[in-house]
Amino acid sequence: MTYEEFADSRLTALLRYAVMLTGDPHLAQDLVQETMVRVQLNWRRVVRADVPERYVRRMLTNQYLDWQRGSWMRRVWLRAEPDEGLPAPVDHAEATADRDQIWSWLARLPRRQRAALVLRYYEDLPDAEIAEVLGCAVGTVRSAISRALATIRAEFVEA
Amino acid sequence: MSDDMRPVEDELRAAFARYEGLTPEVGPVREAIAVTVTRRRRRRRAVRATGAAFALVAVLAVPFLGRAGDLPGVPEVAAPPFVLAPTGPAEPLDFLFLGLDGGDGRSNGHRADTVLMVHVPADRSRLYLISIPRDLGVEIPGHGFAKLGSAFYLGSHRPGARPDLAAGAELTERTVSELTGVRFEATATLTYRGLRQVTDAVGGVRVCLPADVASQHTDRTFRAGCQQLDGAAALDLLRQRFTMREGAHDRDRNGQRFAEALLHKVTDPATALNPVRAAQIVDAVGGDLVLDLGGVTVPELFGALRGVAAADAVGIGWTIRPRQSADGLVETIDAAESRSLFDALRRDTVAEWVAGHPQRITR
Repeated sequence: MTYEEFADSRLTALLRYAVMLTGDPHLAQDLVQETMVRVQLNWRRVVRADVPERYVRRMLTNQYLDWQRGSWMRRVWLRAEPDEGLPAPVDHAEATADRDQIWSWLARLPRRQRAALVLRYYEDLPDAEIAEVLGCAVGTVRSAISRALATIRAEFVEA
Repeated sequence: MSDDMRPVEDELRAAFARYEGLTPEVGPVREAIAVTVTRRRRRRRAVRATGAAFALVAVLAVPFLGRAGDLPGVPEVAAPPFVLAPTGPAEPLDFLFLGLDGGDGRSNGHRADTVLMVHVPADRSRLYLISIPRDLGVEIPGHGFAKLGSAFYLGSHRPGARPDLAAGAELTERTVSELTGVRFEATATLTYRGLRQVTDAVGGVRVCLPADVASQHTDRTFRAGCQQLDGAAALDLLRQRFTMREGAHDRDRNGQRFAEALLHKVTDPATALNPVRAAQIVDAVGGDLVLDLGGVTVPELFGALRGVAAADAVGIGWTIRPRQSADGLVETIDAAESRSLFDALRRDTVAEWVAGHPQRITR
């Protein structure tokens, strides 16, 4: 597989995944761009992985989890609230306000918990694979997800 | 509470599905990636020399990590005269360094005498040097159980042709990755000849010996006391094993003395972090230094370089036991202990591991 073939088949899926992680199309683009630059520079190494697709997803996830520590942070700060200016998703008007609160609750979760939710409920990965992506034990994944769900449930009750 | 009382899990799935519409167009992203890659490749070439200087320092640190007890003092390492602002997300970095043996005439192949992992934690507080015994019995991908050092031969050997050092490095890297679960940002490989050329390129080194060493290969006798050695003499000294009382162990100690001397030279701020000087050294070494800097970016490399110059190096060794196998006598390391170290490397928690295993620190 060449880098070009990989990008052809996987770039859209990666962008979608990044949107779910960041909740922001611009940040998602930055995240994917930075990851894919590394993928291309490292192509020999990436293609050697058992499943390159998974390896790249892991790279992207790590990049996302590391955001706070480096220059990414500045970009996040320079932008206003990540959710600002999002086009309103098309839905039944009344339910929308309620439902999209979920999105802002997601934004307040610790990144690792949010990533675990995205991997399970958007990417539909089994817990073992989520653990691999996040580089932790399966038990840690489960407790992160149950904590995240508990937080969101509590918000629902309050709302 | 939402009207339809759906479980939170379903609400999440629905929210994710709704937001798929925010996904950016692929075209512009792809173009931006291509532009950035081109720019970084250009910068990478420019920084290659600096990276090589780092690689050399680490390669040459290898003999310090021997299992022998009498390790020389840590050489004074001056901090670089400049301070870079932190750039980019701090990530732990892992490098792999291979020192090759002289190769043997019959098989036209090299084995890796030295396999060294260098771990730079995300906080850049330390430099961890983990040497893996070359006689360790391991699974070599595609070749079965054998000594780690032979992975290089298996990967590089080309019947009737010059060995492909890059391919040897690659198979060794893969073997170590499978063993440890650690992926490496870059690898550097140095041959005996490279060692000689580096020594000459830095203008020779001053090595101090406790006793005379007679060469088995030439008519040289290295006298007790300090002496200036050029590349050929240094290599000659480092090949001596059988003329000394404790054989390989004495050779390891000479290697430490040599490395200490060379470290003094290459970590000198006047040479090590000076790209021009480093480029001269790399030029001098040519094909005997094989670098795969992969996707290491300029800031990362500089970050790592600063770490090397300023941080204390911590060497980690093993309890080694010989074991009989189909491949002859191989060495084994304690499975539980090594697994915990490899886990710590992957999770970047080596500091905690070291605190819990003080007896494994070799320097």
